[in-house]
Formats: sequence, structure tokens, C-alpha cells
Amino acid sequence: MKCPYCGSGEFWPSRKRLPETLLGALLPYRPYRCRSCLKRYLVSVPWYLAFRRLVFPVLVALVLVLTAVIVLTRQGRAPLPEEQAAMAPAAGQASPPAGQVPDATAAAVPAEPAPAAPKAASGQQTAVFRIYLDIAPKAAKDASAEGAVP
Amino acid sequence: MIRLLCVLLAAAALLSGSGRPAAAAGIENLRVRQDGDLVLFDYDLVSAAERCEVVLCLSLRGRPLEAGRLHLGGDLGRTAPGEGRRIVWTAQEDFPEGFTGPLAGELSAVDLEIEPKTGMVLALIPGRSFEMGCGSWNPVCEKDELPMHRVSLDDYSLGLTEVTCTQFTVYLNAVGGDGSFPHLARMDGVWRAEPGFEEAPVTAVDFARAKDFCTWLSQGTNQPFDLPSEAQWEYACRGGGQWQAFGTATGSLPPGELLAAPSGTNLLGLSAMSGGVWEWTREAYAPYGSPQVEAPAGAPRVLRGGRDGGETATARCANRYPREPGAKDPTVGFRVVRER
Repeated sequence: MKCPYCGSGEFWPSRKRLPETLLGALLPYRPYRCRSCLKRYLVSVPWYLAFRRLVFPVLVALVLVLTAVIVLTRQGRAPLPEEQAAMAPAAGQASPPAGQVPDATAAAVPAEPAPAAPKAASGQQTAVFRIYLDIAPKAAKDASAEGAVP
Repeated sequence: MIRLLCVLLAAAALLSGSGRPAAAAGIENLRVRQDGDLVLFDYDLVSAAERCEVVLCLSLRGRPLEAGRLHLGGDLGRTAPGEGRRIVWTAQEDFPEGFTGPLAGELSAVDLEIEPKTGMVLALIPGRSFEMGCGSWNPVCEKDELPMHRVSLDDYSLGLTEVTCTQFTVYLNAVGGDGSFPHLARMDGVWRAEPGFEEAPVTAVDFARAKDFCTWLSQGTNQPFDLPSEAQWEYACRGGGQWQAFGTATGSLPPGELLAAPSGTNLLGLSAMSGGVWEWTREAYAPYGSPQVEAPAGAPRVLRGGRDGGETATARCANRYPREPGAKDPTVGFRVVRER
């Protein structure tokens, strides 16, 4: 075991700090202090090395799968409240005063049609699809039909 | 690492737990293919109801298409459940110059039920939680549409259309009602809709009369009819809580300052959610987030949906318009909800 800072092989165990003491045997490393450069460094304990080799890849894979599931699910959902906070409303619009006839509301008119909105999953009653179309021009079809007449 | 895993697991459970509707009409085995000039949509419609409303929403290269203007035929709109349903789109008629590119879309279906007294058709809407209010998908937002807040809804049924003149005459004749309503005439003590306006929405109905209509519907049927709450109305307008500004299948309206005509059906098969006539909701007008208190009888109620000839922005699903409950505007009607 060599010091990662100076390469010296001389060390002595370093005192555990309060959080490390609280973890006790669950602490996945042991602290040492280099006798040459007096710097403190950490060395993983055997059980943690085994954990990393065996369990860690499984956990990483699990996290990736879960993250993918959440991302795919979230794509169709309404935004969360914190996301909403980041959404700046468009130009302010005063509510129509009470007593005004309905067709005289003071709403601003959008200059463009509403942007394409992401769709939320609406459950079992909806099926989505995607297909590549190649529709021939009508004139070309008519011409070919005329040509086919003997 | 373990904490991160726990957080992720909890989030995944939370996300998968919300947004699952109860039993509803289902589109299964959807197969979309091109056959020469035609685009064929084959599917199985699974439902316990006798009739469903099937809605097709198409977009080419991300540009939504108005289904009402397309040459679509087959099992679209009011459809009986069963296998082997087919929608045919004669695409070449809509694109005589030809077209090459990706077509995306969704096919949705909702169960329908018939209200026995008036024959009104209601769509069964599976409730879930959604973010109510004005989000970034809206071209504009008003102050009273904010902040966005989460609302959870139970399943409910909502009228496919506003209450029509014919349906309202059934009520008037049953209760011996009086008053003055556009396109309704009373002859020999019997209310009738003027010819050509049988299916037009009844208007000039004040809040109390609309509530009374719902009470009358409930009597003898053991079905709790009412005016929709704001959340129920907005959720339905947005095609089931989707990020849509307007109550159309595509979520948008043709550009223009004024509404020319009622919007078509949205993804739940509900028509004229944007445009048509304003619609009463049962709730008193109050800022979002204010404490729930019993509103006084004369407190303004909320109208939703905009009207034909009105400004486009007022037809947004999130738009709220306060109106005195006694007002009898010729541009205001209503549709009913049945709690389940």
C-alpha cells in the first residue's frame, strides 16, 4: 500500500473522524496517514471491493432501467409543480370584469396557432402509431391509367 | 446509492400508480398500412358498452391535420365494439400532389351511454389526476388560470354535446316551464324546437335553470346529474388532461382572431368544447388555491369554452369567465355531467 500523493510505503492508521466513527463497521474504507508527506488517504476495505465488483454493476443496471422507465413515463405527463414554476406565463391578461358580456372578454389573441403540444398518456383507450407514407401524385396516376388503355 | 435507488423506486411507483384509468373502451391490435392510394387502419374495439366514440388524430411531419376535412370513412365516430374494425383514408384525395413522409397519430375510443329521459349521449371518462390550469402549451395565460395545481378526478360521464334545444323542450314540457329561449317556441302549451335547430345547443339559460334541468334528470333515475365542475370540464376539454390548449383532436385551432365555427370532436369524442356556446360550470368563481367555502347564491359562476364569433383565446380549455348566475345570454348554454 503506497501513499497516492508521494508514493511512500510508510504509513500509520489515521484517527477516524466523527461521521466515520458513527458508521462503524459499515465504513467502506480505512483512513491512513502517510509518514512522509503527512497526508491522509483512504483505502477501501475488502468487503467493499467485493461489493463493487459484484453488486455495483447490478445496481447501476437497475438504476439505468428505472431511469429509462421514468423518462419514458414522464414524456407524456403534465409538468410537475416545480417545472411549472419555471414556466413563465405569456403576456398578462386581465380577467373580464363581472357583468361584461361573454364575447367582450379582454383576452389577447395569439398571433400564431397553439404550438404542438406534447401528449399525455391517456390510458388504455388510446393507441398511437407511426407509418411512412408514399402517396403518388394524382395526376401521375391518371396519366399512367390513360396510358394503360389499349 | 441506496438512497438514490429508493427515491427512484418510489418515483417509479408513484408515476405508474397515477394516470391509470378505470375500465374503458380499448383500441387493440391496431395495424396501420398503406394500400396504394389508401391508408388503412385496422383495429379491434373492446368495450362493455353498446356504442363507443372513435376519434382519429393524424399529424404529418408534426403538423396536425384536421380530421373533419380529410376523406376518412369506415368505423370512425359512433362505432359498435367488435373485432375487425377498419378506417379508410383516401389520402390521395387530400394530397393530390402526392406525399412522402412520416404519418403519426393516435386512435382513441370512449364508451358512450344514453340518458333515458332525453336520449342525451354521454361519454364515460375515466378520471385520474392531472395538472389543472394554464401551462406552457397555451399561447397565452390569464392570471386567474394560474397557478397550475394537481387535481384528482373520479370517473364521470359528460355530455358529448351541449344540451340541445330538443332535449331542453323535454324538460320544459315535463316541468311546465316558462320563459323565453332562442329557437324554442311554445304552441298550444307544448314547447318545440324551431325546425333546423333541433340539435342546436339551447341558450339563454341561467345558472339556476341549468341546475334545475340536472335535478330533473336525476329524479327517478337515481343517477346524480349535475353541471360539471371546472376540473371535470377542463380535463375533458383537454382530451383527458393532455397538454392541449384547445378542445380539438389536435389541440389547436386554425389561425385567426375569431372563432368561425365550433371545434370538432376532441380525443374523447366531445364536440364543441372550444367554441359553440359558453358553458356553465357548477363552481363559483374564485382564484385557484383559495379556501373552499360555500359560495353565496348570487356569486358569479364560471363559464368555459368560448363561443362562435368570439376571440380564439377565450376558447382555450384553461380559460375562465365569471358570470352572474342570473344572466341569460344568448351565447351561453351548458352540458351535464353524471358522477359515477
